[in-house]
Amino acid sequence: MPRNAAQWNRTPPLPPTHYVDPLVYTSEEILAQERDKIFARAWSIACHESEVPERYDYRTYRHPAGKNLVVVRGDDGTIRTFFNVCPHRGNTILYNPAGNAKHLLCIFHAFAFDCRGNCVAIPREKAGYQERIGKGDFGLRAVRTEVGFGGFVFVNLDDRAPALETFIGEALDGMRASLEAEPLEVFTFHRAIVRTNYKLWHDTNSEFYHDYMHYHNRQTSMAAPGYFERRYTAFPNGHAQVGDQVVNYEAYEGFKSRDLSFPGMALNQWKMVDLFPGMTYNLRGSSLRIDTLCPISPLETAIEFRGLGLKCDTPAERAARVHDYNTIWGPFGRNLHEDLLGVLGQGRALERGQTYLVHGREEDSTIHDEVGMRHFYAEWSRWMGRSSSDPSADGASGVNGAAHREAALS
Amino acid sequence: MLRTPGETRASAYLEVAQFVYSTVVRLNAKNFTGWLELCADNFSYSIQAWSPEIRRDMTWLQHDRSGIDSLVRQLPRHNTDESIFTRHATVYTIDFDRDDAATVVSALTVYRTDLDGGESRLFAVGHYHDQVVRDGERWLLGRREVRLDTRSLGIGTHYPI
Ligand SMILES: [Fe+2]
Repeated sequence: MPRNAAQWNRTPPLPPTHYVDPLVYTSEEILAQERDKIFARAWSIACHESEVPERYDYRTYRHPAGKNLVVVRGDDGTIRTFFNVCPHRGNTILYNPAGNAKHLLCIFHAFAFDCRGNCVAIPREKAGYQERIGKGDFGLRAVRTEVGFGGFVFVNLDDRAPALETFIGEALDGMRASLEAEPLEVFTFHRAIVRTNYKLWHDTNSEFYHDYMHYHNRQTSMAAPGYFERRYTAFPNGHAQVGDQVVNYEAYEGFKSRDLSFPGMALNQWKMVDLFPGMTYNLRGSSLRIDTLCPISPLETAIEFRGLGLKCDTPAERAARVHDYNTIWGPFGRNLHEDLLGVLGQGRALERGQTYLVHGREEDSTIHDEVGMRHFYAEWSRWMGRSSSDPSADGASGVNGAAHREAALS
Repeated sequence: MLRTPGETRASAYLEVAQFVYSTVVRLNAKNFTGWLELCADNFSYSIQAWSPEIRRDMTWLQHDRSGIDSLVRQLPRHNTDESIFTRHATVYTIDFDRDDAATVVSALTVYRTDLDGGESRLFAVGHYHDQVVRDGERWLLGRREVRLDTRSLGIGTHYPI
């Protein structure tokens, strides 16, 4: 039965944990608060250690809290991270996304920094600054950096945040042995800028009910044994794991069983873990996909995708992993385009007329249960100090709940 | 009618260029089976790009003839953004390896046009690196490597580019 305006605007007849207010995806104010309260305090994946393999290699990173960073491998082999900002006049120091530089040189006024963040040269320093200020006052801002869980470079802007191990907890235990048996290496990278909210991408990674949109997954996963027994495990700090499955790739024309797997994994086995607030480890046996997110505006998101194999791969093994990865997950892959189309559609609908998003499925935490998303939003609400089902309820936001919702929903 | 060597060469250039354009016309029309009719039995297709971020060459799609046949056959079974993709190619160089085989490099731009409202936006910039072979009276694509400069492709696509 179609619903009139009043019926449409009513909250769903479910507990508030089971739906999300659309404002959570569209409000500028909420995004600003997410940057401060979540992204500026949580661990984020900046890149993989294989992107800075040599001393003095660097890799820039746009952090989701809105900071531009640069990851540098030092003369001592240690990976460090700094703001990619010259402390003199605020210019960008490194313009290229990656490279090798013994000194980080700001082209604007030739201030130079070493790979440990010290300012080592200021042109005509004494002539202009005398003894009032000098190199010792112009060090770069160091950002906490830890490398782990498969060689990923995690950074945290908050100097007082709990250690990375504490933050991840046991969430990656189900795949950690496979991630850490051998050094990994990135073989593909691409960034998709999509008109959608970043959380909608994380939602897609956190629920499998949308397998109905994937012809490939219907054939190779849903129709394969064990699919409906896959279970979600929720971990502290908002992380969630989806139960493993052995995928029947041959059920899709032109695909074949994988020849390779990751260490300790059965052929064609699939493991997946979502990390709060927006990272996903997706290990389809022969290749690992890592998603990271950077909100640009409430309805515009940069999603970065990395594909990884083993550093010790032979050229033939690497080619097989690259093929397996990209046929499904590359920018021309069979699944990724569908997933991105899905969140683009959500972004478009939220722009043009809004509705509550219902996370109401309960199936004993099995594959089509929406517990993964509910777990995320419970954590989100904790970090934000406001409810994802009624984000304006605390009144502190300045958003007038009723009036704003009426305008937004009509 | 007898032709001078120069005339023969000019007409071969023209034939090859027109052949490359005919592949683009069929792709633009989403006539993918028609496009495959212009491909040799041992055709290979790839989409590649250099990543300045990871400082590596990337292969985003790579199929032999049967792989690309399967891909095209299964397009209707997928949920796909059905925007119009308009490829604009300009043949830059034709190097004849033999009288019946040439390497062709073409500049490529691809526009995506929304069905709803018809807004066109640039989708990608790159090049075609084609191997073309003569098969009797006609030319065929033996290999096509799409080298993309553009790596930020929005939601991407299921279609061959
Ligand atoms: Fe999906």
